[in-house]
Amino acid sequence: MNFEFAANKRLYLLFGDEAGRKMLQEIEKTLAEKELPFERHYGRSDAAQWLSQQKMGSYLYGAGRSDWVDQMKRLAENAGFSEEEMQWLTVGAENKQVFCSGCHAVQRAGSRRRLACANCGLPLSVSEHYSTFHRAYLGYPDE
Amino acid sequence: MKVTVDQMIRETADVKRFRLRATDGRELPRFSAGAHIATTAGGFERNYSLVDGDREFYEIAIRRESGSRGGSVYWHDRVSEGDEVEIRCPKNHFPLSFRAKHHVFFAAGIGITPFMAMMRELSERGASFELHYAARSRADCAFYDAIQRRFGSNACFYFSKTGHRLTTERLLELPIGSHVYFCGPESFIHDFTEAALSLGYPKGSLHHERFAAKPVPNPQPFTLVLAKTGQTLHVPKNKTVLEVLRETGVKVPYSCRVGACGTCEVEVLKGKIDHYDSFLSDEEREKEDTMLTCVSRCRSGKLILNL
Ligand code: FES
Repeated sequence: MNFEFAANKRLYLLFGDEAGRKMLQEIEKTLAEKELPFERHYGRSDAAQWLSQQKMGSYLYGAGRSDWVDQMKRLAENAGFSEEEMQWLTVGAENKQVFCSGCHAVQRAGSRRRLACANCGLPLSVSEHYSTFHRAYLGYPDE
Repeated sequence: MKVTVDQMIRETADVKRFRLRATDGRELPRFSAGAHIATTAGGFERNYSLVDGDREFYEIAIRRESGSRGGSVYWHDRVSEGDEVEIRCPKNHFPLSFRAKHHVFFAAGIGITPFMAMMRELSERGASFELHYAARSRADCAFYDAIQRRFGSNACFYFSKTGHRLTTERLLELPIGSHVYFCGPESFIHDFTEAALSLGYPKGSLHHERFAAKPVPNPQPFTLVLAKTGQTLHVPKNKTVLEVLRETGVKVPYSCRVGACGTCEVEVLKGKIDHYDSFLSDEEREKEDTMLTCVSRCRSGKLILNL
């Protein structure tokens, strides 16, 4: 899995925790080769403030451990970043939040691709579809 | 729906505001900020944004465009208080974004109209917004006093006669989560849209409303073939596909007639389309299998439609 290059942005923000650093290297190289402006921010403690100070036209690449990504993604959304303005990669074991399309419960899926909903028992497959509204990946009924 | 012109207020030398009430005294349908109504007066059908109103009355503001095909001139010169006109229910192709953290309006001239209702709604909600409004001079600036009074601290005015011009510079400074809205002449919308995209604004954060279709530089006549009925029709250079279809009695729906809403979309089986709409995405355009008949034309002399 790698980041996709998003063209025509005024500033690229590379944002990661310790574990995410390596995953950002490749996109950093791409940006450097293209001589595009970017800023690196690793393991920041003032992330919420830093994110909300960004201007329109910036683009965020975030990478880190699953829990960190979940948390930072929420901060970025609160700051105003939309799905069109950011990309995230998760290091190591994934631990996605899953939204059950049957009973609408949200639960953790660990690294499982399929699971039975803990609330209603519906067999679910974890999709790639992230819902900003539910803050979780959509779980579709598994046939 | 029939409405009566209840009041006419002169805003500037060129702009008049019309207050409309239902002729039968009933309540009018509710509308959301950014909505417009289609009006028929003197045989001209035109869309105007609702600047104010509720269930009791609607208000529209019209600039007299002497070079136009007559709709605004008719409203200015021939309509008086007490007259009855026909309108259609409000529609909204220019709604406020739900996701925006901050709303930024860029208006040129009569392009201010949809923003009047939008600013009212946002200030009632306590939401964050700003207005950048360009006019020739203060005397030509419709709603100047009302804006100063109600939204003064959120508004910037630019009067070109005094050398103070509205530029795209403000786009550089807007905080993440802003949504921008453009309304005014074609060139204005075009310049601001291009500037925002070149700075990296995502398409989803840009919104615009056109009052007129994009100009077609040098329209050429062409032939239409309707695949289902086998009819062959001629589209002259001064008519749109939609007009020709409707004149021939083919029932195709439409709404905005400026290529913005997608209502008039028709499947194209063969032929090269000359797109003039602002509705389809680039990918949809490249496929060459669909067109908006109210504005788009043909580059290959002949179009075969799935009608
Ligand atoms: S009628 Fe709205 S796009 Fe044609």
